[in-house]
Amino acid sequence: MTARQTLYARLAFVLVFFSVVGSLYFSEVAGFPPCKLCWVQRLAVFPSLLILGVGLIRKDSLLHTYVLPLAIPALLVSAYHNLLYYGVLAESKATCEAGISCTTKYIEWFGFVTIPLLALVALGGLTTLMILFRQEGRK
Amino acid sequence: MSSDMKFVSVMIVVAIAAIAGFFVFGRNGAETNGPIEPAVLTDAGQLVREDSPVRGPADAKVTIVEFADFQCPACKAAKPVILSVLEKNPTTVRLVFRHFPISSIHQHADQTALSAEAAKNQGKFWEWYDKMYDDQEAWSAQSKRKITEFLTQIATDLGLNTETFTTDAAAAATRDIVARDLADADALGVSSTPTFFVNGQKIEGTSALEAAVTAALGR
Repeated sequence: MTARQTLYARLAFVLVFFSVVGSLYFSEVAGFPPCKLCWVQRLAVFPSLLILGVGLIRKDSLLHTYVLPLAIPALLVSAYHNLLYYGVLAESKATCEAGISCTTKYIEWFGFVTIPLLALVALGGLTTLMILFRQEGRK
Repeated sequence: MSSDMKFVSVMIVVAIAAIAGFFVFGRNGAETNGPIEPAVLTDAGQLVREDSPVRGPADAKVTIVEFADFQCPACKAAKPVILSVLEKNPTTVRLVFRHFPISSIHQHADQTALSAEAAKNQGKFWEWYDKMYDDQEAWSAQSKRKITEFLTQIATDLGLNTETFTTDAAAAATRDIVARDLADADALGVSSTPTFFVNGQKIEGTSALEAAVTAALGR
């Protein structure tokens, strides 16, 4: 792992760290139940924390090959989630199901920062850092 | 120990400590006012209760029972359809409202249902119903802290006695009515809003409502 790769991996680790802690804060402390799309994204983010941690310790220069397959699909799901959330794509308005909706707005910091947006930024950041990590390894 | 080993270990320990903290202390105080749960009733499953709000003639040939949640966008979208059906059939169709607040996804669902009952006590249920759907976006955006004030202002605008309104909305008897509606809804197999019963025939969503009413009218 080059010095630059280490930097990217550390940044990714910190990013994912705050994503995991933040996600658990929203669900366990604030009491906002995660919707299905949130769960798909959590499925990628939670293991990434350990993978990045172990990868950093082992100085694994192939770290991106484990993280990107988790991060990229989750990023696509997150993009879709945000399009639904901000009303670009219309969710079927036929009924409101008893259960957990993917478009309920629990937080809206500064009028536009919501949980799915935070997830998109985190997954976008993670994917970017891992792509940079990969490019650095190819040099 | 390498610097990364230390870094990762410290972060993981902090993460585990934070997560453990969330689980241990998190649940307490997350909800100050528990959601309204369905009542336990021996006669659950009634479509219409004596005190259920009715819009339209008592002897109407067709009764639409609507299970709805004031904070549900689909219920808001259903309102003009329902009103047009009532307008087209002023002597033959009536609407009965039943509460089905989905508090798991709509944070003000319970409170607006209770407020609607408080408005009903002052004879203004349908004014409340109209106002809730017309202004849904505005009041839905209010925080838990602000919503009571916001709803009280609506009550004032509708000419309600706000003192009675506030007392009634907080009364256990009012909560019992909503809990009873939830119990009826559960027994009738309602799981989404709006769910309609047109002369007892269950219809989920609004798209088939008009056709069902037409069929029930025998046209």
